[in-house]
Amino acid sequence: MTLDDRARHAAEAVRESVASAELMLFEAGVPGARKSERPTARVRALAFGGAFAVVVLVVGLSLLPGRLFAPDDSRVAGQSAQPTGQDVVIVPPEDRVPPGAVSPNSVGTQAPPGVVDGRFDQVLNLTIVSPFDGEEVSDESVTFSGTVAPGSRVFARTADLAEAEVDAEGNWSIRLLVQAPATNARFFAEDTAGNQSSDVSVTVIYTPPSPDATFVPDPPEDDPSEGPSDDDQSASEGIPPTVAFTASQEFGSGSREEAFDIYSGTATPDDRIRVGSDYGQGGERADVAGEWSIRVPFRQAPLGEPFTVTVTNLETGESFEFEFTPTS
Amino acid sequence: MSPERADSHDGHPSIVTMPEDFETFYQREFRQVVALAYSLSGSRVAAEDLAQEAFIAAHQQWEKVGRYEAPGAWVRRVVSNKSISLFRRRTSEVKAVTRLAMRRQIPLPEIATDDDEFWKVVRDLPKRQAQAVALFYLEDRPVVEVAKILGCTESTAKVHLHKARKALAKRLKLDEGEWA
Repeated sequence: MTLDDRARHAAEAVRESVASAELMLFEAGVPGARKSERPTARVRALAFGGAFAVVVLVVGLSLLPGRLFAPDDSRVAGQSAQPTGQDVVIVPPEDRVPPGAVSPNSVGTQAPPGVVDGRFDQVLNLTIVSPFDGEEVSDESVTFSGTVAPGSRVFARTADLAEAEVDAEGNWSIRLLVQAPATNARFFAEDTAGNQSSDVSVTVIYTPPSPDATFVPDPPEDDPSEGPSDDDQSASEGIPPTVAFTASQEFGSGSREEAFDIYSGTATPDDRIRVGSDYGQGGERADVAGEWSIRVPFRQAPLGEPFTVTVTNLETGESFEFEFTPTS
Repeated sequence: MSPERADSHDGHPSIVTMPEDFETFYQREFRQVVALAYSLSGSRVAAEDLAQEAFIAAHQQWEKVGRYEAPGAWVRRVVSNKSISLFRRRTSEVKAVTRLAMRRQIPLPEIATDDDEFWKVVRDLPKRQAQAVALFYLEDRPVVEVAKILGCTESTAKVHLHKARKALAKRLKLDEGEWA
């Protein structure tokens, strides 16, 4: 048996073990649902406390002169005399969400008032007409449209709350980029008085096209003996391709003891990228594929206090700012 | 009509994107992440807990993480680091055992002794080598994806795997063979 055989056998064993296990999968898609297991002890405690309170109340009242309950009121006496855990019903938050309510894409969201189904709001008559829920799209750029009470504004729940175009009749539309395999797009409306509607949402299924067959992988950075590949036409022509400068941050926070983050993105090949902050910096050149990645450790950063990290393309002067927060 | 563009703070327009539905992401990825946690922590009790912690972290930052090119890679990196950390593993194990006692949850089924021994030897490797082995064999990922998850270059990931395979073959007295 080779190492690969043994490794694959061991890997299959782990996969089978997990596949056959009864895992606690979220039902509502909200990690808070996981906490429904934690209230088990709390439910029991509340049930016991509630039952105890009922017993005390009934016993106390029964001792009052001119008792409130007729001695032969067996129904009331029966209920009071035998308080059990089942008399106190604690409904987990997820069970209160009515059918057709907004998909819980944010923590703790319950069905807001006025929502008849996920795509219609009664408050400002906000509706999503297109696309329909579950529609399959082949283009990542999707136009969402619908209707709203005339005079209202419509916003998408994006990072910057992108605003839709709304005409005088209340028809609105906005084009957004979606991600594979499925994206839940949420919208809300606001009238001139500042009243906000409930969120309405729709889910689209996006299947991206097949990867480009001419994709050229990055050459190994640690192996300088390998020169540019034959596919690197830009190198043979001597003119580097222009690539838009982008940057993203991997974590945004980390344990103070080993605080670090990874910044990566794209830039014109050979552009110098610098990451700077009060507690750590780093730099790298974009590779021949126009990609760069920098791991920056942060030292002596104060616990819990976010600080700014600036990523700069030294060739173009463009920059992005991020925040990092050391945690305990 | 071009896609909605919103100006970022430094004047560069950024494409407005919608993150993937978290529930869909979770349903698709959870079991694989639990398997990764199990292989790297060796704990049938804590594996699910470690995976849950990683998904909770992802959910808390979903507006950002959900827009990543590979949110699954982010979650796997988090759970890999949590699993390999002895301290975190023991803390999760204590919590998981407490929850087991309250709810009589069934831990992950045991695996055969030989397979269990393999993963024990993997966990004895240096951290990065162990993570690389788990991702390469358990999830059948190409080296370029292993590198992305670990946050290193492809050649660095190859070095980790090469050294790990050498050490595993020696400890387990196996023919290293060629990479399949």
